[in-house]
Amino acid sequence: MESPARIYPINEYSLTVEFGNVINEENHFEVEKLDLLLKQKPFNGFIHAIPAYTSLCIVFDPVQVKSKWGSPFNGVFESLKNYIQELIKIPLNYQKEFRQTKTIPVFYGDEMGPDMDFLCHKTALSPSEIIQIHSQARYKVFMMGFIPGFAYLGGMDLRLEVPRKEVPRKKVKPGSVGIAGVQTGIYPLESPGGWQIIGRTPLKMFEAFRSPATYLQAGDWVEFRPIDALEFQSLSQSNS
Amino acid sequence: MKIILLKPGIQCTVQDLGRWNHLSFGVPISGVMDRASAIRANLALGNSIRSAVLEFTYGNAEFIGLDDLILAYSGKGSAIHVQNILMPQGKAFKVNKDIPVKIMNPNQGIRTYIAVVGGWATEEVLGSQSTYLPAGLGGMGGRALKKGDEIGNRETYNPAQSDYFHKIFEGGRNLASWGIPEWIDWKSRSEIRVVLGPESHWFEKDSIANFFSVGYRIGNESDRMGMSLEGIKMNRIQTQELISTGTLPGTIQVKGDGNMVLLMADGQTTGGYPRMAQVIWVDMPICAQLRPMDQVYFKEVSRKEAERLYIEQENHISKIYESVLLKF
Repeated sequence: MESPARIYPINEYSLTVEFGNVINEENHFEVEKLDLLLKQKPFNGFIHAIPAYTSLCIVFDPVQVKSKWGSPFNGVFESLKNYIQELIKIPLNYQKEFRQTKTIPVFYGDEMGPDMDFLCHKTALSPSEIIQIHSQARYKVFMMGFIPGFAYLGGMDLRLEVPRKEVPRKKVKPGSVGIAGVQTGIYPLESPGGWQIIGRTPLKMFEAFRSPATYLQAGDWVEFRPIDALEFQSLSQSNS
Repeated sequence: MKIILLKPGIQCTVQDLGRWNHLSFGVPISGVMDRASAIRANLALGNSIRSAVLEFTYGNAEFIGLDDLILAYSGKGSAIHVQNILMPQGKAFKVNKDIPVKIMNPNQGIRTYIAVVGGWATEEVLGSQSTYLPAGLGGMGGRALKKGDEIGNRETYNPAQSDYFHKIFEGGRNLASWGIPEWIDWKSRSEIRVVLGPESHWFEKDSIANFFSVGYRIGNESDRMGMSLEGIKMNRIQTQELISTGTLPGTIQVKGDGNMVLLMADGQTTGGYPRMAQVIWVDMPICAQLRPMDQVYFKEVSRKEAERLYIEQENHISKIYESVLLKF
């Protein structure tokens, strides 16, 4: 089968493999598969790979790639491009469902979800309807970026689609669950941010001394579970 | 060997060559901005190039040793004076206990790297000592150094290296007879070499022509995350949105308003702005030393040439390291 991937260089030590230009689970599935293949069969000089919505950015050490590459070698990028084109063809017994589903408890609304009123106004839904819709879907972690541990989740019900804040907040609390366009996500650390905040999780999404440091990884499935203030408090305590 | 910081200057952080294995979790590489100067300082002491250094921003900083120190430094941000003597860059020197080491303005750049024999010792976080301030990771508890901070070297390092430096500084001598020459051509600092980026064809022909002919000024909004480039804005012919994808230092992104940003060491790991160009690896140290208001011109080179220069430079660094180790 003809491989639809486009492979292009970013700089001397990285290249990107792009599977189409539409955000969907199928394209992301290809990203996950290649990411896994590279972890299973890393080439000499492979350092790391960054999964995104439809692409995988591969980081490598050009000196090692060059010195350990067998023949034919016709440049670092060219050799890796050929290698990856072949690698993509390898069938992999990998199914979407293999990835874990992680449940994230969320306290919705009140002071933990300061933009809930805005959402109600924009969507003409009540808070309980918003909570129900948001917590009924199953989401895919398409990408981690922006700040350490920030997960971009796809799969939100389009009824909840709202624009970002016109002026970003200077400080968003850690654990805040937000919506921007058709995406939803969780702020792992206190940071500035423009997403509409509808709730907060007591889970620690990023901890430098934990392994892995992030609670979520690209490819994971995510569900939200509404909790009350009491449970939020007890989970916060057991997490600290 | 331990120092106490008396004045940190504008910003002093612990950095090494960065945190490369957590990009997929949104953790930037970080690490030294000017890799060439940091490596040169480490090589002058026979340290591994990965040893942690102190990155000072401009001058007006000062520390003293709580015991005798063996140091080396490099970088265009400042000049070091010890007892009113200007210390040469890229050479090991000894400073006796309690003698102030003054990191002074002016120089032509921004950042200066001070290495200590054995490397500065702080805890590794996610595999690196590099400080990433926005998330409080690495270095001195995730923060910049402040007045009164104490930091020492790794106590367990190459014994032959330790013996060697103690021997050459016996009998009052305080400067090594050899040093590490610079391999970056700082004279051509206003000309930055780039390779065209994946979305360069998204821009008008005139904009691309301007990019390579009109100069750009380094904006005030420049830090370890990125540098703003002020000049003629880039006009797009393609108005589609780029789907967010992995980004790395050296990328010149064009923002929605047509202004450009050059991503640096602490730059975000993913981004959705079209990529006009990529600064070549061997010119990134020059970018790290550009000051606000400095004027730069971009010159196109081929990707093959960039790759050749990369490998040539890294091989050069390995050769220097090997030749320094022969001294021990």
